[in-house]
Parts: sequence; C-alpha cells; structure tokens
Amino acid sequence: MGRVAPHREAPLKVPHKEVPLKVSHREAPMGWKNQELCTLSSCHQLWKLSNLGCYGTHRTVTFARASLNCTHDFIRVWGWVHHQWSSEDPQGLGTKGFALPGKTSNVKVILNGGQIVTYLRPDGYFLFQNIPAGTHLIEVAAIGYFFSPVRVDVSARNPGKVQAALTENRRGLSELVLEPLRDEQYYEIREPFSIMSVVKSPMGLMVGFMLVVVFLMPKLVENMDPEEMRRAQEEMRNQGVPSLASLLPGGGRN
Amino acid sequence: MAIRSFLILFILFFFSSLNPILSLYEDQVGLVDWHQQYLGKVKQAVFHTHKTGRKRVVVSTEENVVALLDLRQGEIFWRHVLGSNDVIDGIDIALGKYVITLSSGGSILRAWNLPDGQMVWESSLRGPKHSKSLLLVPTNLKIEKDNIVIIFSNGRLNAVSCIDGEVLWEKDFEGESLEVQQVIQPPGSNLIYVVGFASSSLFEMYQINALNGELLKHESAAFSGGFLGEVSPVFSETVVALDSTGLILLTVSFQNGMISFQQTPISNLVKDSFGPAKIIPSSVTGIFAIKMNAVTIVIRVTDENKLEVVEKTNHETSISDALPVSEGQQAFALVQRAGPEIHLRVKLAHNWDDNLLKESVKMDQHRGLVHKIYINNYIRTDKSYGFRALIVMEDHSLLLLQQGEIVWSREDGLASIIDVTTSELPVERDGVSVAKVEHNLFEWLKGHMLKLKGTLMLASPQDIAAIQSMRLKNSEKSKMTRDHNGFRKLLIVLTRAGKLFALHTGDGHIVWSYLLQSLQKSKVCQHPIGLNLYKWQVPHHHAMDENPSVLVIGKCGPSSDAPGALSFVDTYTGKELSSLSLVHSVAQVIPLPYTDSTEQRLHLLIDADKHAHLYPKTPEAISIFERELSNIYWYSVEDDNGIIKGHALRGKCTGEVADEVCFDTRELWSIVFPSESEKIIATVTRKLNEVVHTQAKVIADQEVMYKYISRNLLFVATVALKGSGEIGSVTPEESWLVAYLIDTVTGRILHRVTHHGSQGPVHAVFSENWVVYHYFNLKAHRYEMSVIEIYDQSRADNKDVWKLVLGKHNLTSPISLYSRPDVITKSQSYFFTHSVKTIAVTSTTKGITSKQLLIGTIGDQVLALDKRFLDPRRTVNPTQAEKEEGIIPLTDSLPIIPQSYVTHALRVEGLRGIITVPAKLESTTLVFAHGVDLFFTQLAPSRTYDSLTDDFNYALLLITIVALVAAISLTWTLSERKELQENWR
Repeated sequence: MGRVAPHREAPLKVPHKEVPLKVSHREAPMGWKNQELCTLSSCHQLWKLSNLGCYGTHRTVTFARASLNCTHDFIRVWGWVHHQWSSEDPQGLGTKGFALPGKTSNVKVILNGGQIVTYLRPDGYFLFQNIPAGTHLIEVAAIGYFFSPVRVDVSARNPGKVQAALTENRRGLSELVLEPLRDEQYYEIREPFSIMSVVKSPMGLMVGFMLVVVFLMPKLVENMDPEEMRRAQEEMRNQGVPSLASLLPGGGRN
Repeated sequence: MAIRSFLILFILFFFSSLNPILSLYEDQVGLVDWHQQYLGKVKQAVFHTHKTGRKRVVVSTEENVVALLDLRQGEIFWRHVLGSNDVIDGIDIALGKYVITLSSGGSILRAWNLPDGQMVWESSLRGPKHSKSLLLVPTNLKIEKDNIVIIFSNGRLNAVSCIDGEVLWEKDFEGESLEVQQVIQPPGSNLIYVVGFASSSLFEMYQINALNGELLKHESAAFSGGFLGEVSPVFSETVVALDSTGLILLTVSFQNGMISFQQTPISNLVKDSFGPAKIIPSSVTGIFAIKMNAVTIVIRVTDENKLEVVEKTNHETSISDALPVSEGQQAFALVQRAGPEIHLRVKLAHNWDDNLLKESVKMDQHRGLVHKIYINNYIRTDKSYGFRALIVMEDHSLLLLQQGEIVWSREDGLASIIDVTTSELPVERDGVSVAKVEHNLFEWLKGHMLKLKGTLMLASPQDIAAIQSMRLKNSEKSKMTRDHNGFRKLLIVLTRAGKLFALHTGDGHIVWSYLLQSLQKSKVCQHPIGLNLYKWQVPHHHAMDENPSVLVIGKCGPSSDAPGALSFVDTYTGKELSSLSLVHSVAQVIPLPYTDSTEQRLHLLIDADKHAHLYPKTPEAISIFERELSNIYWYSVEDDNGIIKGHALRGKCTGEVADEVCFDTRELWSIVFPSESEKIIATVTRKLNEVVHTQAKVIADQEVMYKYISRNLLFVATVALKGSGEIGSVTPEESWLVAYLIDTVTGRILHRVTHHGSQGPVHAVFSENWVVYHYFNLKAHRYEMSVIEIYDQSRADNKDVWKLVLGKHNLTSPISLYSRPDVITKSQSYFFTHSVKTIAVTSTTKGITSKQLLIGTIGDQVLALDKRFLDPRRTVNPTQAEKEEGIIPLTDSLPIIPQSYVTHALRVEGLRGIITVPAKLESTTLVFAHGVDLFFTQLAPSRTYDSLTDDFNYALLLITIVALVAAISLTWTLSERKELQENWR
C-alpha cells in the first residue's frame, strides 16, 4: 500500500464501548424524518434495510445507517462524520459536546469533487439528496484532519443497497461513519533547546573547532619529534609573529 | 591528518544541521505570508440588531457566500462558502436565532445557527418544474409555537417548519405556462397570495391558507396586452406590472378575489418618455420605481390606485427595502451618486415630501455608483430614530454609513479576481517615498539579544511576545521600493467589477485601486467583461525613466464578436494612461517576444474573423513586426467542435479599409478529434516567461539526457463523450481519457497516450519538458496524477567526449520544428487522494532551483509537492546510484505531508487560481493564491541556499566573532609572555 504511514498516532478515541443499551428504534436525525421518506410509497422496508450498526458513548446512542433509498430516481446518502469534537460527549447532552465551538461548522462534505457540497449538522450527520444510482466519491474537508475519500456505490437495481469503502486503504465500511485517518499537524514542532543544537549550529562548530585547536594542538605538539619542533619554533621566530597559519592544516604539516 | 579528519567532521556536521523538511513553525505564521478574507458582491443583507449590544448583519453574496458580519467593524464572525453551483436565492433570519438560506435554484433550504454558523438543519425541496425561487419568512405566522418559512421554488409552494426543517405542507402550481411572479403574505393574516402570469396574457391569483396549504380561491383574468418582466407589490392586494410593450403600467388589484386592471400609459405620467421601461421591484408599500434608459422614475400609488410621479432623475438611484419603524409605518431609503458625493435620503412610505434623514457622504470616485442599499434603524439617546445604511458599490465594495460618515468599508471586489500580473516597485532613490525604518545600533542589538534569548529558551513570555511583534511588524517588508531580493512587488489584480487593484506583496495592503472606465456599463457597452491583464511596458536598461504599465483587455458583452476595449494603466501611480475602444473583437491575445525602443511589448490581438491586429499602433512596432512576420505562429482551440488549428500570418489586411496594423492570417494545420468519441476538456501550454536553466539532465550513471524544450508544445486532454459529465456517472468500460502532446507550429502529435477507464475533470500543468495532469481513475475509483517527460533523442549520442572535442557534435546545429523531432517520452502514474481545483508550478528567476507542484485541493488548501515525487524514473528499488541522484522509491500514491501545505492551517475559500512569480533571489518564489480569499507567501522549494534565513541570529555570530578575537588576542599575549619568560630563563 502506498499510504503514507501516519507520522503519529491519530488521537482518535472511537467510542466502541459496546454499552448494553436499551436500543430503541431511533429515527433519522431530526429534521430529515418524514420529508419524503414517508410520503413515498416504496420506502417501507427502508429502516430494516439500513439498520446497520450502533455507535454510542455511555449515554447517547446514535445509529449510523449507511444510506437510504426511496425511489430509483432519488437516492439519499447520509452518514456520520465521526470526529473527536462531536463524538466525545461525556455529559450526554446534545449541545454540550462542542468543546470547540464553530469547529464542526467548518467541516465540508463534498460529493464527486464539488458536485454537491454539504455541511455537518451539530451531531455530525450529513446528507446528500437526489443522488443518482452509480458510483460516487465522498470527501471530507476539515482543517487539521486527514479523511480518506470514500467510494459509495449506490445500486440501481437493488434500492437501498449501498456499499462504501475508503479509497485510501480499500477498507470496506459497514456503515457510512467517516473517521479521520489521522490528524494533520501543519507546523513543525520547535525542538526544545538542547546543547546539541547549539553545538551543531555553525557558530557552535566554530567555537568547538577553536577549543579543539586550543586544547588538542598542544598535545599534538608534544607528540612531535623534538627535532622537528625546534625547527618549527625557529621558523616561527624568523617570522617574528607567532603565526596562526602554522597551526592551521596547511601550516601544521610542514 | 588529525586536523583533516576534524575538518571532514566539521563539514559533515554542517550539512547534517540542514533540515531537509521544508515547513513552517507556528510562530513563523504571518512573517512572509498574509491571508485576507472576503465575501464577494453582496446580494442580500438582513440586519440582526434586536438585542442590545450585539449588532450584526447577515449577508449573501454572488460568490455563494453566506456570512455574519459585525456591524461595528465589518469583521466576519462566521462565513460559509457554498458549493460553486449552490447559488443562493434568498436569505432571512427566523426565530431570531437561525439564518435561513435558500439555494441551488430553490432546492436546498438550510438553517444556520446565528451566533456560531453551525448548520442546524437542511431540507431538500423539489418540485415539478423550474421556476423563480422566493423565500418568505413571515414573523407572525405560527403553527403551534412553530414559525413557518414559506418557499416557492420549482413550481411548488412549501411551508417548512423553522425548528427542524420539516415540510409541513406543499402545494404544486403545475399550470402549463404559469409563471409565478410574487408570493405575498399580508401582515397579520393567515393568507398567502400567489400571483403570476399564464400564457403571457393571463393574470393568475391564488389565495392559500398559510396554515395548511389549502387553496381558498383561484382567480384569473385576461389582459390582452400581455405582460412583461417582473411585478412589484405595492399593497398587500395590489401589484404593478408592465404590459408587453413596456409602455403601459398596469395596476392589478385582487381585493376580495376580484381582479381588476387599471392602465396608465407611462407617457401620461412623464412628458418625454423614452421607449420601454423596466420595473425595479421594491417592497415599499405604495411606492415603486421604473427605469427607462438612464432615467429612474419613482411612482407613488394612491389609495384609489392612481399613479403619481414623485421623482424623476437622471442619476442612477437605488431604493432600499421597506423597514418597519413603528406601528404601521415603513421607512425606506433612496441613494444616488452625484459627483464626488452620494446623497442618501430616508423617507416614510406614506409621506414622500418629508425626509427622515438627508445626508451627503463623500465617496471615493473609484467606487463607482451605488448598486444596492439596505437600511436599519436604531434609537438614539434622545429617543429619535437614527438610520444606518449598508451600501454596495459598483466595485462590489461594502460600506456602512452612519451619521454622514463611512464607518467601515470592505473591498469585497477582491473576492472575484479575474486575472493577476505583477509589477516591480520603484527603485529606491531620492524623492521616492520610503517607509521610515530608522533605528539605531543599540535598538538593533537589543532586538537580536532578545532573539538570542529566544533561541536559548531564556526568554520570558513578555520577551517572546516582543520578539513576535518585532518580527511581524517588520516595516522593511512593506516598503514602497524595490528590494535586493525581489520579495517586494506589486500584485496587479483585475476584478470582475472592472476594478484594478495593486496589492503590496509584503503585507497585502492596497497600494492603489482604479475603476476602469472602459469596463463600466455605458451606452455603447452594456455588459462589459474584463478578460486579461498583460504586462505592457516593463522598463529596464534604456527606458529606465518610464513607469511600468499594464494592459487591460476587456470586451462588451459575452458574445464572441463583441467589440473589445483596451486600457493602459501605470502601475506606480495607478492612473489610466489611455484607453481604446476597439472596432474589432478580441478572441485571442498573443504577447509577442518583441519590444520597441520604449520597452513596450508588442501584442497581437486576434479577432473573431481571424484577423490579427498589432498593438501598439506605432510605425516602429510595425517595422519590428514585419521583420518577424514569418516567425509568428499560434493555435486556437475550438472546444465545441473538437478542432485545434494552427495559424500563421499572411500579410497586410486586404479588402476593407486598409489599416496599417491589421494582418491577414492563414490556417496551417488542423487536428480534428472524432466528435463521437473524444471531447477536448483541457489544454495547457508552458508559461511564456518560464526560464529553463539547462537542457541537459545528468542521470545516475554519468549519462546525459537532453530535455526536449520547446515553447510550442501543447498538452491536450480529451475524454469520451459519455465521460465528460460528473465523476462516477459512467462505468469504466465506456470512458477513457486521451492525452496528447502537440507541436503547435507544425501540428505534429509528438505523443499520445490513452488512459482507459478514466475521466475528467483534468487539471494539468506544463513546465520545462514535462506535463503533470490530474484526472479520475474509474477502475480504482481514485484520483490519479500522471507525469509525461519528453526528451530529445537527436542529441542523445553527444556523449562521446571525442566528438565534443573534435566538434562533431550537433549541439550547435539549428533546431527547426519542421525537421522531424526524434523524441522519447517517459511517463508514470500515481494515485492522489484529493480532488483538485487547480495546479501550478513554482518558477524561479534562473530555473536552477528544483520545482514544486502547487496543488489547490478541494479543501481549499494549497499543497506543495516536490516534482521528484512525479519522476517517471522512480522504481520500487532504486539502485545506489539512483538514490544518490535523489530518486525516491516508487510508491503507488503520492504522499500528503501536512507540513507541506503552504497555506498551513488556513483555507483559501473558493480557491480559483495559484500564481507563482520568481523573486530576484534564485531560491525563492512568490506564491499568490486567490479565490474568495487571498493568500500570499514566499516559498523556497530547495530551501534558501543562497541567503540567510530570517531566523539567522546575527547577534550570536557577532558574539562568536568577538569571542574569537578576544581569544586570539588573549592567547597571543599569553604566548608572548611565555616566550619572554623562556628567553629570560
């Protein structure tokens, strides 16, 4: 797989706790019920078909159904974008979960590269209506998170049959719950101050080099042949000034 | 030896300290980049000022933006940019806490939470047929504590619950030719009137119970004269319409279900009427306006349905919607432009003669006329009414007027940029205004000491804040003169409103703006459209004293044979030098690679009749041009017919009036794509000003490959006819994508490749000898990016040193496109995660620096992707030599590294284009991304190898040098003393 390995573990705490819940037949998100679901005759078995799974924190329970289909012409695809700021809801209160206000409001859900753009409801649901049968691509644009695009196959022959798979890792989804694969860190982390970083900087290297010359050179000089040393000293005296050049690599060797 | 090894170590250390990742630290945001948020031209505004304290206004714009603004400063509280085909039809506030938007031709209704912009519910509305979309939020209509929203769209009347968006009832208006014009809800009643025309001469009125959608009454009456255009409601049961000739005003009253017409010829009202009129709809009771040519007439309807002219003016007048001020009273505003001022009047609907408010506000000439006005009232401390007016100007800017002053203004024209070019700033010299950057050495050193403290992590929070503000407020970057590195430039942008702005690259402030008269609506030019910007004059060398100028090209109207308009604007002063109304149309503009003695670039304008016109129209330009006549080739693409044609010049125009600068053209070649199987969806060429450093590319095993570099290469992508729709609308078997590389001089197809099971949209970028394109792979159901590199084989055998020494190589032989090119292509494809809006490539002065692709993703971010990831020579296991060359092991998809988003944590909402401009410094390129938002940054694709970064600590360097000097002098004195002692011994 060519997927880039997440540079760090995505801090996703998917509330997979299978809490014993009194699972009641929960309706579709508020506001979408009864719109045409119940006015159109072919939607009887919809809820049966689409009842795919159950997700919940310890007090709230949310069904995430992959999709619903009413007629052959008009298909609604809806799902749930699952991210930490909407799912972690310790109080169990619908509105309390928004620790970061306005953040869910900046999430866009995009169908087929911009054909339809929709937004998330407070509970993370999104909905695409009037979708023709065929294969579609759903992308989620959220700053700070990396979502894999999702391939959604809406069957023409078998109304209500919808398959979804992440395109990045070809993992099939049993329900259209979109989760970020990882979060995105746009900035480099400034490394805390360390001695190494100073030593490694050009200036540090210069100082280090100086120190080396100051402390190691005498040692080297000591190891020199006394004959040679005397000659070097003579040379130095001839020049009058103790030349630094003689300490440098070129001079050191003669 | 030991010292040598130290040196090697030193060098190793030095290189290891260079971090290979190119990215940004969080505290570097805003140092070289800037981001500006805009809205677009406001279409509708609804005030929300009921509560004390918070004064806000909700606006919808032509860029499909819905936003909540602070009425005090004009800042954005929240903003949503809807999808590009999700045009907003109406907005309103319901229940005092929801913003209701109707969009997509009346098919999507959304409610947004007013304080934070969170979407609350979304409803999809459908109907039997396409129609006008009307949104009505009655304040007093309640069903069991639930307010309802009335929507008429797609031939269906819907009542939707405010709380959850549920459709309460719906009623179809399926009459064959019924065109519903207005939905009227008389205040205080549970009735809704739906009025419209049927079969062009029948007036239809439906009375509906708002609570359950029951049809109470349906009346229709015929009017032999027919109807024209819109109706304006004047009373709750009376509307005004025009007959089909546009000369007679009809007052249609449908009180008690009886429809009666009353005709008033306009000539009876106005002595000198000038042909057909147009109704300007208004919601003010008893008042409406008509427009005849440039004359606006405000008409009052009396209780007996008599019409009275109350004002007739030659000035462009805008009338606001009605604002209920007190019990049963409505106020409205009229605004006109007169010279340098705008006149604002607020009146009560039933009392024309008195003004509640009369103000004159000085207004910049370059904002043009007032297009729209919205008023809101507030109660002054002395309990009287005060009014504030939000006005939309001709240049799409939004201003708030209060007490005769402009409280704030927003340059929202910048949300719709058509074209961008750049201009250099003036050279620094005496007399040129320069920002003050005076500070003494002590200050400078203090700054750097702070920085040093920062790097050593010794700084206190106050110090850190001081450092940050010092870095951001660097006055150096917004100076009005040219800098050594070429980072400071002017971005010249042309907006849809026909206004030219010059933005400073340092901090994005507007240096000047100019509303182009040639792109304003006038008698001769009803629908002017701005097309392009070109650099007209870039003075250097001998023409140094001239100011640079740009050429703005526009045309009158959307048709292909609409006459063109040219404008020349000085980029230093922002003044129009001259303008030209052309007699011919502008189909294509070709900037030629020749300039005259004043450094004016020669431009060739091709009109719809395939005549070429040369500009400037000077004898000098003509003589230069005639010399090069036989070397000028161009191509044209006819998307609809699937034809690409090559053209050349023949000679001076014959026939018509002999024009010195008109030339006849001839067709050289044409490529006809089979219309049943291929449709052109993308064409792209190299940028004209791109610089290529070297033709040779040395590859791993000391071999040389020669890039095939030609300015005349065209990349064309075609798709199967079925596959030209939305992605996923076809099966992989019936869709394919064909990519071509075509030589535009000879029409020769150099390369052709078919991607089976793929479809558009195709976004491509062409640079040097390679093209990268993005498309959709239906089989894998993922996006893919492919690269094609094209190499010149005819030079490939110039490897032998002896050949070069003996001069037997063909490197100096002239290249002619007419000789058959011997090329090879290499290509490779990779998966790419996101949908793409646009692709660009970085460009640098000399073309030495490696390139990065700048990919505008669907999430409105700009991703920088190294070209090395799109190298057709990538293999799964590169050899050691290839690794050294920098070849990355092949993966099936392109990596998305979050740190390489050049827009970091920002979004360039509604991203449309990315422009890169080389700085003078080879390593650096300037990037400007525009959409509804603007974003600018500097990029160094291979890091800034040729200059010290901004982070460089001069103080540390200084201290090191001082320390070194001190150490040297110390050791010297020590050694001298030692020597002296030794001598004494």
